[in-house]
Amino acid sequence: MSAIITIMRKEWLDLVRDRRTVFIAIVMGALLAPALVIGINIFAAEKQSERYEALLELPVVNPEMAPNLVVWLNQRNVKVVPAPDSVESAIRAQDVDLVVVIREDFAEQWYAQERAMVDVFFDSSRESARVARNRVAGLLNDYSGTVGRVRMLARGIDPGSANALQIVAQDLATQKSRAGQALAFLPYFLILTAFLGGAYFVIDTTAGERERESLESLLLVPVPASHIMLGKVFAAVLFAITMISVALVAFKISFEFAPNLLKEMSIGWGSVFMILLFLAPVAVLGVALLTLLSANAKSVKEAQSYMSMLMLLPVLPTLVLMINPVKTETWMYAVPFLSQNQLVMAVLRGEALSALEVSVYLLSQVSLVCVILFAAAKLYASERMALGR
Amino acid sequence: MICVDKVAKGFKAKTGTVQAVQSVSFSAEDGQITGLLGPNGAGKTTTLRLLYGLLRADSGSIWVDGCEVGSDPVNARRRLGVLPDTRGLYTRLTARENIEYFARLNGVSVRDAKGELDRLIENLEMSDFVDRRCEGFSQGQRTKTAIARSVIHKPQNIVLDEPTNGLDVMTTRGLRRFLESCRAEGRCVVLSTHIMQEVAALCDQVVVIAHGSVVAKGSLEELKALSGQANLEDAFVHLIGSEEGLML
Repeated sequence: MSAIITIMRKEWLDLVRDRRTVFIAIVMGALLAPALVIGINIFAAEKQSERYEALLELPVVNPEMAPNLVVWLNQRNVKVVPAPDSVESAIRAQDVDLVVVIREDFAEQWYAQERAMVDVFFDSSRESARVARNRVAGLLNDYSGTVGRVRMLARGIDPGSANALQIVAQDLATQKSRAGQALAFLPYFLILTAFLGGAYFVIDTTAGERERESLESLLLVPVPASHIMLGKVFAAVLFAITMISVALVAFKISFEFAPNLLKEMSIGWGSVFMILLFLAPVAVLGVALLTLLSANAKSVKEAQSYMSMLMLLPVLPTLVLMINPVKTETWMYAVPFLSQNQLVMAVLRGEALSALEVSVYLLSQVSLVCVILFAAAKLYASERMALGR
Repeated sequence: MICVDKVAKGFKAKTGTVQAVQSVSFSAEDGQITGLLGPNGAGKTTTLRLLYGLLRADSGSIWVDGCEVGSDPVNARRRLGVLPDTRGLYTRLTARENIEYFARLNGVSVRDAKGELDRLIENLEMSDFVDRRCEGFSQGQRTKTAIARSVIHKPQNIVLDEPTNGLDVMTTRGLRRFLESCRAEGRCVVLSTHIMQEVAALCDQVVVIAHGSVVAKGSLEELKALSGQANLEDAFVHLIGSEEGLML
């Protein structure tokens, strides 16, 4: 037992002296959270400007062909400006978001009361043009409908009969739920931080120690190999939990400074602590899995190559649920990553969790970790561990 | 005291099994320095790795003070101090911290190890670098630190794999004095080497290994008699059958 603590303390000291690595890991974790929250904040702000209908500058080709339309647009907070010479290249060069072209025969068709042609040029792959596109499309439809109704009245027909349905969109999304939608990435981000927070540490203290040729001496001390492994595992888990705590506190604080996300969206310190408790088992799972992989790896390089695969692991259950959505059920709390996703979301939404769900979660995690660590301990005691082949 | 009884070890390779150790038997007594002499690739390092339980022998057994290494490696290691082939140190720790770490892992508190550490610092002339971080140590400083960490718990049996590799003359002489003091204390010292001078200068007993087997063993005088050569160097070359891989 004392050997485990000795190893843990030494690994921790060794890590802390590697100032630059620790600094980068902690600072990145602490900065990423505010950056993401500010990003969502801007996203929410964009939604608002769509509603407030700020002045839109709209380039129009041949505005003299449709003077009434231009006046109508001007009355609705749209400023018609001269169009660039080449419409296509101006949009490609991102000089303008979209251009409206009144066709040469517009006036002729208008007076003949045929459908007059108006082209709207845009690039649908550009997210920044989305708001302007929706507004212009809506305005042109309104104009078309208004004039059409006037024409029907002039012929003595009830304009209502032209539309069999009147669709009124009643959007029940609140600002809070919209922020929640934007925050769907949050559990994944937190689970990934917990899962791989100790990864560098584990690779460095197993495959790395073998490459630096100090492992042979360590394996020769009169301590069971499993104890040596546990000392390293505990040190790495401690580091992963430090990382996740920093990320959580950074999230908590940056929510306070995000004016567009409602105050209700911000989470209390109690919830922060709950999330930390639910994520701690993921940290242990990640450290155990990487211990097994890097003890088996021939080199640090090989151990690191598993990382990209492991990064995808936490997304898989979420993807499966997206393709085949089912109601949350108790068995889901036994599936790694899926369970954490449900738990973190439940805490964020302020939903209650039953004792059964929490115990299913803890029991499944503990047994999974035990199986992995048992395999890793066997490997630690093998010849392969010492020689790397 | 260490007894090695007919151990064999093979490694699986793509081209079939490579028999690194065919059959090696010898015993190393307390109060003596036993040398394993053989050319590079003779199986010395593998034999020692079997001895300190890093590798499992395919057959045969090894006893350290009555503890069988294969079945009870932890207790056998308690009686062993090992300088392995690989001498990596923790570069972000000082030499003193490196040594104290291994004292603790061997169940000796830093306070109890203080006396032995001071003695090792003096004997191995480490005082000018012992409190520096190991980053950028010279090979001599690295080896001295590695030796100190392997014997800080005052083991009865000391096993060293090519201890003088890459050391300068002064450091080599310091190391020899240290090993002689261990012998005087009645400890059992086993070292492997491919340098004949070292055997001549230090060892009471020599085990000559070639191609994974013991080709001769005995005191220096016995080996000379066995080979019928008057000169030690000639005796070794005669016993091994070739000069290849040996050093004067």
